[in-house]
Amino acid sequence: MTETLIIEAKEDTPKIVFDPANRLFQISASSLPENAIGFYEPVIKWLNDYSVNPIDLTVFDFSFEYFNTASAKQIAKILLILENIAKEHEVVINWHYKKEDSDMLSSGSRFSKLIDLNFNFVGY
Amino acid sequence: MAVETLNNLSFLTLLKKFEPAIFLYNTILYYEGEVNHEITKALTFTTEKHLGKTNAKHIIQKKIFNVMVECLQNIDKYAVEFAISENNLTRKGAILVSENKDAYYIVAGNIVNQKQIEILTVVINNLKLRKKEDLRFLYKKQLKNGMLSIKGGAGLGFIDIARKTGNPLQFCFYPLNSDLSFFVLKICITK
Repeated sequence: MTETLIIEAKEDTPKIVFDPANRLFQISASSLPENAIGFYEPVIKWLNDYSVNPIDLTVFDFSFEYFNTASAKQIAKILLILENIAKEHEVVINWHYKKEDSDMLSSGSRFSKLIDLNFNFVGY
Repeated sequence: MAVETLNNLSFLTLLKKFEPAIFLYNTILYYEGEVNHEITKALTFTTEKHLGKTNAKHIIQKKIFNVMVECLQNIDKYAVEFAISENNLTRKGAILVSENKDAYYIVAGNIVNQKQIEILTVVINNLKLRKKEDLRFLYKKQLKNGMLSIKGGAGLGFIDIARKTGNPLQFCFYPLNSDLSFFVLKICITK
């Protein structure tokens, strides 16, 4: 099984927890890195490695406070890998958003229309 | 005017001369100078903190934060570079955040070259004509394009600003010499 990937949040980069043994796949907090491609490179590499031999059900939690457009492109890449995994395994996306933040809900809804995956929208 | 002498140019003077109306409202923040990632964080987080103490709605605060990040990151990535010393280049920009009783206003200014004027004019004018539904479509298209190439998806920031603010973007170019112009982008976020 792929090793755990944990990246702690900074003020401009999100927290990443990828822990297949405990069935945790989480991206949270804010994402406006100086170099979005550079920040997400190891994240995307990890997911590509994971996609070779994923667990039977991957429940992926996005709970962004904020992300910029440069990050949006990287999030789309992540979703494409998950879409690929979903061809042979089960994948569920939980898109968490603050109830008063309708922009974050519509961002998630846009991704869900772009990519063929099961999305749950979870207001908190 | 050579690029080397542009670092003495006052953006505030240019804004007051060409866009006097933007100073009619209550200023929340004005900054002019080098724009890099550290500055972008400092300006956006400071404004966010300030707005958090006011009665501004959470969603409006986030829209302002969002627009500021995209404007400043555009300057950080694309503005024409200045020489501040022999071996040091920097990108300079101005940003004004103000409000009146109806809306918040964000004005960003930086130097662009002729080639950028052509690109910006096409990109922004393209957005002006579109309705919200079209912007959604365009965003999706750009996101898909962006997935395919490393530097692709240019203009996604402008689409995002237009979509989130729901108001048309206003912009102007004020020529400084045969190649360089002062680019001013004006965004209104209704309260």
